[in-house]
Amino acid sequence: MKVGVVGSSAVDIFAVSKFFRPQLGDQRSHIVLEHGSQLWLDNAINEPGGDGLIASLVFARQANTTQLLTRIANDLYGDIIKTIAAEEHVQLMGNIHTTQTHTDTTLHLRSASQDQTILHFTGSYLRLNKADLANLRPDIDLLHIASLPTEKSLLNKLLAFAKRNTIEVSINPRFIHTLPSKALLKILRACNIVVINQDEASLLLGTYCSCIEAAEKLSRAGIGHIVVYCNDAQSVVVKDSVAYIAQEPPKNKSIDGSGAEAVFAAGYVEQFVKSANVGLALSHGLRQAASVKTIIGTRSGILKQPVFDTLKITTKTL
Amino acid sequence: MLTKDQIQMLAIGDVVTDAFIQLLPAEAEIEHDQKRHPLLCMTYGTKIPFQDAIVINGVGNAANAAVASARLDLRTAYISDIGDDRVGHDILRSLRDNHVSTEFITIHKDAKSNYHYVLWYGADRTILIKHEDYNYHWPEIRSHQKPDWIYLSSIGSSGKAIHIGLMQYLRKNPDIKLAFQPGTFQIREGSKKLQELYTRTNVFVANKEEFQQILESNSTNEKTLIHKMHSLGPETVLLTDGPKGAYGSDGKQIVFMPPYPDPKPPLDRTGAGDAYASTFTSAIATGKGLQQALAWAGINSMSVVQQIGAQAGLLNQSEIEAWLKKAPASYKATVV
Repeated sequence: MKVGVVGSSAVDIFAVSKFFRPQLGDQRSHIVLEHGSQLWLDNAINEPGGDGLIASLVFARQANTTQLLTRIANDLYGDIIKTIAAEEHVQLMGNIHTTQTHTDTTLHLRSASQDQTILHFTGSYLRLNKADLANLRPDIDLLHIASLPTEKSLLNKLLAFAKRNTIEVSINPRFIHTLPSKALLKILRACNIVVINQDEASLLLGTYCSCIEAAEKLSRAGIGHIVVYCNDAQSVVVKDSVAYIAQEPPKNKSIDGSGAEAVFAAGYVEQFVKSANVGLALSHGLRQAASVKTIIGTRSGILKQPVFDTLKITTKTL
Repeated sequence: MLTKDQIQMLAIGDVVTDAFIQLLPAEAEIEHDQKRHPLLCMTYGTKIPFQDAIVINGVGNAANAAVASARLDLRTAYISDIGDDRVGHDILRSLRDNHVSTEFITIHKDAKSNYHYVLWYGADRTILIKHEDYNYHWPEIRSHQKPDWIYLSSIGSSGKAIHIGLMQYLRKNPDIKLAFQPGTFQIREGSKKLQELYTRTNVFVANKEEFQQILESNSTNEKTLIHKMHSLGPETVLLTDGPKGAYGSDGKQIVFMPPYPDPKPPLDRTGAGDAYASTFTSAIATGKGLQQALAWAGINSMSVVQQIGAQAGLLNQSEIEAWLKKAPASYKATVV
């Protein structure tokens, strides 16, 4: 399968120190560092990040021809991303360099526990523009939008491109506050598969919803194939008025949740497009997500072979 | 290249690249502990956007000293260690751009270069450090390259080979002058383990807290600390005390220099101490007296905090002289 991914690329830096444990304040817990001091890290690990790059790695590891449309800068982190893309056989499309900003970077301040404080910079992907879309190739089978571009017009152009070339479109909208809910819903209706997490779904619907409620409501709002990812709890798919409810068994100890949703989304979409089987797709997506949670960073946890086990799935006709 | 000329200043110490993570004002806050030390507080377990990331190549105590010295027209070379990666090659380019000879820099295959993350909030910063353990070794310095001065500063915990190599080299070349601005591990070693180094030092530079640590003294009296340091060996001693000013001593007299007034609020305090230390040493190396060396040092330190990073604000001689001409009357050395 030939896949085109549109989304952000970043370098995730995991800085590990006991000083990143919370100190209890009056109201909230804080990381407290002596300002003006030097703090020796126990470890510092650079890993690929950004939803677009992570999704590309999932597609590429399943032997799909994978192209990524993204934006990075001509700097150290841009170089790291280019090296990783080359190693993983992900083709970076077009002139991806931006001169106006640094490459997107995320600094994870971690202590021994899984919780962390994340400092993130989003600059280069925001520079994705209409001219970049000319780099998309019409011979792809699937267009996966892993991060929302900042402008609605870019999304509309992506959808128009897919329609013109009869390409299936999947989308995993993150940080949905960048678009008004009504406009975003209209775009989601035009996609073949929508993968969204429970929090974002609740935001989109304007009220807190459980996984099942969110999936049902978004299905009723006109999204034909909706997948609601609920982290370690239930994940739900509603397609053709049938709800598929899966429970991810917590087999492995979760170390780091970074990238898990992007991996789940790409894993689900990849298997569904290949097999048209919701059960297989859910199983594969959840296993991929569970695997990346067992290590710090995402890349080395992404599975090369699909995993289909006896994931319990219940169905319900709506 | 300096291979045909004698080196005037040879800096020694680790080189790093600093990534300045510029925190947004609303995303963190400064509180103070009981001793009024500033504390950087960020909400735990959340996602905090930051404004920008600015990468500055080729910094660190010794690298800053090398660039300061080169900018003051001293022919400068640098002994350090880097990995064979993009960070390392960017460091080399940056040093060369600043007219520092890199021929004594060892590139280690399959190793990473030192990279620090600097949490920048207000004018101050908290530095997250991860040093690489290199297989350090003393490089070959040919006789025609023999330096007039050596400036030794911060080296990682595994840098013993550099100290041993340096002391052997200095024993063979007793006419070389040595300036010593100790880094974290050298301070932790204390004065007893590094006794020969202290005895051999011509110019010693540290801040007040570092004096107390090295001398294992609780004294807050600058004169006491300076006298104790002289007793370890250094001929000339500089004690810096942050925004309060600095004290210089040649063993005969102690001179206090107030800070040069900031023309505008400081942007980033990174490298202020390094600028003071290296400018003071460079001035002494070019034959300036104690009072003039202190005057130069205060100006370069003031200039550095007006820009981001430790090197952008370093001045050349004529720029320092220009600032000196318009110095307020209060910017004057006084004998203590």
